[in-house]
Amino acid sequence: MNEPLAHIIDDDEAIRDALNWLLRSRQVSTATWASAESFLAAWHEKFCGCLILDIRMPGMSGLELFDQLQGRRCLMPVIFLTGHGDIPLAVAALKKGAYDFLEKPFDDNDLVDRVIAALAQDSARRNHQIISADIAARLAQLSPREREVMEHILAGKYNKVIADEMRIAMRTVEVHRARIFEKMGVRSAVDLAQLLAELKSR
Amino acid sequence: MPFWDPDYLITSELQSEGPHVAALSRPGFESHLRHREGQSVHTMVHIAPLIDGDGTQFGWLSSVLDITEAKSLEEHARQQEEKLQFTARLVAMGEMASSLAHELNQPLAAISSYSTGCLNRIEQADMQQAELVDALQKICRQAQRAGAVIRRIYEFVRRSEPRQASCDLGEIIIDAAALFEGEARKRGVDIRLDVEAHLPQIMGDRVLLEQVLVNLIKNGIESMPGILEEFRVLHIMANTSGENSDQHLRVAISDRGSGIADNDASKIFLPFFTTKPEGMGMGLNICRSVIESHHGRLWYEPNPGGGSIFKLTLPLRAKRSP
Repeated sequence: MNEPLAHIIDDDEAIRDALNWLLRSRQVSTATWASAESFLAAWHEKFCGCLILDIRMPGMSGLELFDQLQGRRCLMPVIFLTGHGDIPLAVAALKKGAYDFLEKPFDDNDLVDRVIAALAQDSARRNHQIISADIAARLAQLSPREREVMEHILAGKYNKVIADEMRIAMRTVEVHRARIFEKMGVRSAVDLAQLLAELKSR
Repeated sequence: MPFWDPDYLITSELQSEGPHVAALSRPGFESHLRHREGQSVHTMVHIAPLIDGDGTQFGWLSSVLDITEAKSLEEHARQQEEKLQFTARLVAMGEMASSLAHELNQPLAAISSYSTGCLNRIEQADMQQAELVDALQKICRQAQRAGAVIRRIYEFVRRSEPRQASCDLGEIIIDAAALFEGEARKRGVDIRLDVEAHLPQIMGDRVLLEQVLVNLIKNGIESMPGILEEFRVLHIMANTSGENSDQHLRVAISDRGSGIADNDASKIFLPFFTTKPEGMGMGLNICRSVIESHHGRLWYEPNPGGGSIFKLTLPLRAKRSP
């Protein structure tokens, strides 16, 4: 299940079905779960998208599920739906990293807006993860010597300066530079700096 | 006899003729006398024969006590009691109302989401009529669900007796259990019915009795998530017992769930007592009220094999309510 889905978890069948219809009416792909337990049993780290979670459910509550998922390093954004009087619970959940909460009764399209925003956040997170992994993989290909040269390049030094400082031939620096660009998949020192800045930025 | 209150004249005359036969055994009788200022006086009259040393009755001794005050105190106490019961009912209703508010919010929220979805789709070019029909039908169903909740509030608020009609408890049990077929399958619970064939009909309110069974079955099913699947059995037994005038129906609903802690067992029927984090603590309390309003009993026993047994009895010859 690698497709991003809005996972609706609610013990009330009608609520599940209605939210399902609502989200699909705005082209959001969904999956529905009748209990926190059933979601947790099916959960896999490849799951992506977001969760719409009823804070109170018989059996495992929404909050318990949230804790469990955090324990398993699930990073999907969670939107809690809370009843009257559950605001303190919801605020506590926000502090623990929940994406958002809506108090019932809520504006339905407002919920959809937030779900779409949560899906976008999750997708950006996954993209970044892919990019980071990719950059990390490229970096791993560099030899210790090449890494050293790269630091000098990133410091904005000319080949001649690098050659002097490293006490190697200028021609050798040129070879290193070409190999670094090739392994990192960039065409210039500026590209290289940008690529690495991206890795650090997140 | 100018002092007899004319409203009570007939009975008063009967009483005065009665002593020959009744006086010795009768502890006294209440009567209304008229005070010379016109108001009615509630009295207790004792009459005893006067017998001389030879054993011959030579007259009657009659004492008349004014019990107006005692009577009005009694009346006052009765009214207080009635008021108290009414207040208790209002308190229970308040609790009931907040739990019903939740039950009512569910269908309303569903209706809201279905309708918003319809409005969203109507604006889109690829909208299909069939999908709207489907959603609109679901809206109707949820509106009816909300209506049913409101009806239940009415049923509860009505101070009258449960609606009495002849009903088949076996059928009610089977219907209530059928409601949980899906839920039981999902939770891996095996519901076993052991209902005696041709149970005699009882007089009662079918809706309320079914609600009781639904509640008890739901509790049973929900008590067993942590139990090995082979033990997840909810056993519902119904039969007749007792003889003639004391004949009654017996129902036992036993689960093999987590059971009830000893020090909780005495409290589970109290209002607001619950062991469920999201419970209102009204379910069993209402169940018991319903069974008692049918002159029956509902109680809990620990299941010797682990878990709980809820037992109820309903008399076949419903006594007239006081």
